[in-house]
Amino acid sequence: MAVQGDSPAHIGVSLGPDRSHAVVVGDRTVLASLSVAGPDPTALLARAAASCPGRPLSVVVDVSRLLLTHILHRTAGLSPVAMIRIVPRPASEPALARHPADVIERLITRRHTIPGGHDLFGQELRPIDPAAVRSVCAEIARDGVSCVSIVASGSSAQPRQERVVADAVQAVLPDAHISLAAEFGSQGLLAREATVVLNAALYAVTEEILAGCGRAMHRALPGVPWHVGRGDGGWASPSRIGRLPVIGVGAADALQLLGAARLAGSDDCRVLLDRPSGPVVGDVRHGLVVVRPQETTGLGTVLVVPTATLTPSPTPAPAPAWRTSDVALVRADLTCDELTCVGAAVSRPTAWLDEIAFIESTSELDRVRQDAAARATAIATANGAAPGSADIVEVSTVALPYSPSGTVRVRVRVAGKLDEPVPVESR
Amino acid sequence: MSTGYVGAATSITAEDVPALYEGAKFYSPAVGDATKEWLVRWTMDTLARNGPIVLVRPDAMAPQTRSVGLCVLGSATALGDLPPSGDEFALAVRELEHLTRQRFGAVFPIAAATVSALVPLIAASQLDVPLLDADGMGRIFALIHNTSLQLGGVSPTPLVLRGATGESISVTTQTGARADPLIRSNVDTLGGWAALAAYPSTAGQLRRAGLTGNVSRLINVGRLLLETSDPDVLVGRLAAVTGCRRIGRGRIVELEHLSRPSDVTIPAHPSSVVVDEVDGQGRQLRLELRSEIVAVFADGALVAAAPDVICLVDVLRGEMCTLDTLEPGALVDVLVMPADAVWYSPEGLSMAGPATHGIPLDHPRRR
Amino acid sequence: MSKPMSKQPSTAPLDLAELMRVDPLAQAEAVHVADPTRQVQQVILAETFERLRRTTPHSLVVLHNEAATGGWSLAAALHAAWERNVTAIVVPRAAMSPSSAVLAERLSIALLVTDTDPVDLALTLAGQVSAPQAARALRAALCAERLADQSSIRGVLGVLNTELAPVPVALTIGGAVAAGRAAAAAERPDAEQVRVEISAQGGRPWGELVASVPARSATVAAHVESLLRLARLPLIAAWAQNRMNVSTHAVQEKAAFQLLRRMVTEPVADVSSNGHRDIPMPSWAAELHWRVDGVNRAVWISEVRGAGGEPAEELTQLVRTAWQRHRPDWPLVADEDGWISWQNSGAEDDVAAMRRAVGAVLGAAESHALVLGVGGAHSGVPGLMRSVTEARLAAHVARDGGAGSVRWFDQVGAKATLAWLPRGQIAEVADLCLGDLMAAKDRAALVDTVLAVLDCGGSLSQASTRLGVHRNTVLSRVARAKELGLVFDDPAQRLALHVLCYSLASLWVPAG
Repeated sequence: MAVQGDSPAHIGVSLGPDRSHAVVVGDRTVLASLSVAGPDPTALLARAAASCPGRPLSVVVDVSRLLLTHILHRTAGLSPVAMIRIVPRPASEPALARHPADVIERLITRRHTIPGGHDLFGQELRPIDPAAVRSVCAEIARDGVSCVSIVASGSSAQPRQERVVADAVQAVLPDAHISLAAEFGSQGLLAREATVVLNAALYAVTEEILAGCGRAMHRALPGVPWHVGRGDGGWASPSRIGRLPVIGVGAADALQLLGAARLAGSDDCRVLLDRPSGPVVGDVRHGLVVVRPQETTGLGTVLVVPTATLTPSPTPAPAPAWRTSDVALVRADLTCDELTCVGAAVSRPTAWLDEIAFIESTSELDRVRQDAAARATAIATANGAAPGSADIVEVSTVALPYSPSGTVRVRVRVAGKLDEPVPVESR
Repeated sequence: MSTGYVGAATSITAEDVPALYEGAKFYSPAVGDATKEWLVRWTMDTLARNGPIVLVRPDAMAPQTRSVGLCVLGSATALGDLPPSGDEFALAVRELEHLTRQRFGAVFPIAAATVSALVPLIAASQLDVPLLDADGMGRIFALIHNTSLQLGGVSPTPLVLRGATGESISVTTQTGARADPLIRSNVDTLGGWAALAAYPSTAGQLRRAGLTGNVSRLINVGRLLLETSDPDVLVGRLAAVTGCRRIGRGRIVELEHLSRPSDVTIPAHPSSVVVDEVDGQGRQLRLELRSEIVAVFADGALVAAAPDVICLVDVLRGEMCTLDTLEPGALVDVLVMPADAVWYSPEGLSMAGPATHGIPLDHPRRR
Repeated sequence: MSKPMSKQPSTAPLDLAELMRVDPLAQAEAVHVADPTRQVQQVILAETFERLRRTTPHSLVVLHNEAATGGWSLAAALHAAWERNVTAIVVPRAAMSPSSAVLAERLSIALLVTDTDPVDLALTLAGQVSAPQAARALRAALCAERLADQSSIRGVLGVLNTELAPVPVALTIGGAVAAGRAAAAAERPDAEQVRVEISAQGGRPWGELVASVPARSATVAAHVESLLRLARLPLIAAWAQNRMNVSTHAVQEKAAFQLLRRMVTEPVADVSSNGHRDIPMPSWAAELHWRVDGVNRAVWISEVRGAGGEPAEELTQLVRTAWQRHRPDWPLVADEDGWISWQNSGAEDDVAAMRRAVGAVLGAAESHALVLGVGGAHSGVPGLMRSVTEARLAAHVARDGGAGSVRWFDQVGAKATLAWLPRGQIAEVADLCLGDLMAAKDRAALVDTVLAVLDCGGSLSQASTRLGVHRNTVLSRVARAKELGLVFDDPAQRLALHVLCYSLASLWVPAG
């Protein structure tokens, strides 16, 4: 085992409804693995601090299991949400008027539609109707809802209408928490709707969880920086997650893949995870978990925040296709919860961008890519990455099929540097 | 889901919809899942509420029965961000009825692939008419007159275009080829997609010029796709059902844009995907994209081209790759499948062959 | 003053390398060039794929219009070129992509990217291909300019090798490669050598430029020769300049080494308590890139027939060239009647490296009629001086083995004594006291025979075996030698005659 000097330790924590876990990672090894009953981080962090040789460099907390439990089983603890859609015409069919996933639909107390909307390039399709805005605001005020989420067609390109409505709602309900779909970017009205509804619903409960973490950190490790795991396998600052809790959803899956890859010392591999439902596989590329906006594991609906892609693995042996593949298949011998904690301990600040752009020449394409990369870097810095430390990890631009010539989809992934980029060995 | 093979005339129930969706995706691999969640739910809800759709082969229907073709025109990404209100397709048919002063007794998909394979089901259910088991493309071509119907003398116009904005456009032309340039910019104005009702025709004309059986085959292919995620098993089974074969397996190394001159008639600019074969001869596979994959070059030799249906399978996930989510580093199988025989006739090739995409080379199936 | 060019530029088809050396292709970016010697018989401007399909082998294809739309079109053109055995593809930059570079390499098709208008380019190239003499004359003129800019031998050879690549060119002096690519001097069945003698103005030839031209392209040989001729003047100028520089340097080094030697031999006031003198390396030694700290092992190089005096300056240069070719990091210093070099190997003696070094220069030593002696390994400056002395002794012994011989002091031992015999003076003595023998025509055979008999302790049969002649021959020669005064039966005379025979025999060693 290679030992390099006095490398400081990192602590990874995963809070769960029944048991919570923590690992201390330092000098390329898992130095300690702890677990306590219940979701309270106080005792766990105190023990982790005690097992840590010296002061840890940072602590990363995964709260995704708590969030998922609330979404799936403890809806009562979540805030009821008033949903406002801004589209040219209201749905004439019941199936189109609702969200197709029950897990989302049951969080919504009442739906409203305001005529309006833009196309993918931000061209207005219908001006917003002020009378409709007033009447929706009156209804929401009457219902006394404290959480409101708003999604408009085309708002990733032109968020103006969402803001106009948000301002109007805030005016009648000054204390309301309002989530706008434009904050998450990407495309697909219903995926954006699901994202913004979950974000609004999780707001209060996440605030509570993070406050608990903050107190526990202050007691056990005062002054040590701490972050919260993201669905894409990176981390963001607690204040960022507090404002946009939905980006913490699905973090455990991604962090397990990252943890297993890091234990195997591999930056590019395929990871086999044992799940109660059977083995699943996910990929790690360039040292980052392969994620995309998709149907989030365990949630059953598509979100626009990217999460790890887990595919059921044929049992008992992996399919022949993987054997001919040029990447290694990794199987970790730690439990999933320990892997989550290892992944959290070694994770990096990240950001993701998914935009539509219009280009007329290849030089313009370069400019669009650079702009997108600069924006993604700014987001990573906002998420807590040290300024100047962020690397562009992946940029892909594809022509959008059946769209006007020159339409491209740009996806950028940015990751900040880890303080100690070393592989970790298990005990 | 029933597991039996879907034969000549039958009905489509809500349970068939997931398989139909997967099959429809296979015949137009370009389009992603941006609309899947609500589209499948909407179709299933409609069929559950109104009962199964009657699916009839054109030759099993009275030849004089008036029929109309339906499809979604434009981008699936646009459709995903601007979902329909729900009445666009039925209203487009009603407007076309008004325009032609005829009542339609059946609907059919203009292109039985992707979203356009599902919306005729919804319209048939809403209008309470049978769905014809035939289409005009057997895949998706970018231009609305690129159909076997046009080759058989059936004009796409008069037609009606209806957007999610509630606006509609009707177009009547002297020749079929004029329709597409007339409506293309209107589709952008309507928000990037529109419901199209076109090809007013008879069951007899469909029997002669349509591609029969193309709706039922989607369900059969879709069931295969849902049954296995092992890419080798999948390709083997698809080969038996669809005649597809694997050109090669490789890793995407490059995405190029505007890699060749663009013209305004066909949507989406030309781009290319370069794949390094990981097994076999280690060839360089070059995929030329124009909304769909229109050609594959292996070490510079043309090995597949439109009208072949060319698609990518994500090897590690065992599912179809959609062209708007390709990433460098992904491991893919390149599959090619023959289109309907009509597309390899001289007329078919001149309408949809490689030359129409600016590739003036002989089609590999014609050499 | 240069002679007029003996040969006109040839009318053989141009090869790709030739075309790429003159404009407009000189401006093009060579993305991949598989075989620059491939001929270009025709230039084709391909505007369509139809035209590409009718391309003939050994043509250069300039893509244009439809055939140069980029992306797939270049990939397809490369494939068509591969099918038709085309020499090269030239493509406008707009149609180029990184993946095409990979494909060109994979299919082994030369691919050039140009910013020039394809039509103009094709017209110019077609002109060049149809009139190869003009293109070659232009090229020769450009080459002459570049040669004239060179001030060193290395520079001149560099220009020639770049210009004529892949044909290798070398400068040989006395048959040994002095500069350039050694492959040029190697005889190969599939190649023909083009040679041009280099001689100073009116003087004797001192070197030769050699190029190894593939046998099949005999027409290229004429062109190669004309370029080699162009290189003569710059080469002579560079040689003269070089000689001046080297002479200055050599004098400096020689003085420095003598200074170093004096430091060891002359008494120093400050002697350390244990009596061991540790001589620090002077700073000027470092400037000469000499290393003396640690273990040193010296090599003495001398002429097989040392005249006793200092060797000629030219010879010093030849030795330096030969030596530095193989061991550029070892010094070479002229000293008295030979040259010194040494191996510095830090703390540990590295005999293997010395063996390799000596082995590498043997060929040159033989051709320049030199012998080598290798001293023992000793540390520090005093050690170096001791090793030099040992090496010199060993080198003297090596002379017995003829040109190209090497002796290691460790194996020489007491025999070194003989090396110091004043053979010239002994021979003068022999002239006086053995006049009859010295006048005899067969004196060498007689002296050799008597030496052998003495060496063998008087055994005629052993002597006959050593000499490879019949015992009766030995007997008759001994008898004749005695008649001429070489009477070695008398014990009082035997030692003197033994030494005398030894000296005469080693003086009369057949040359080579």
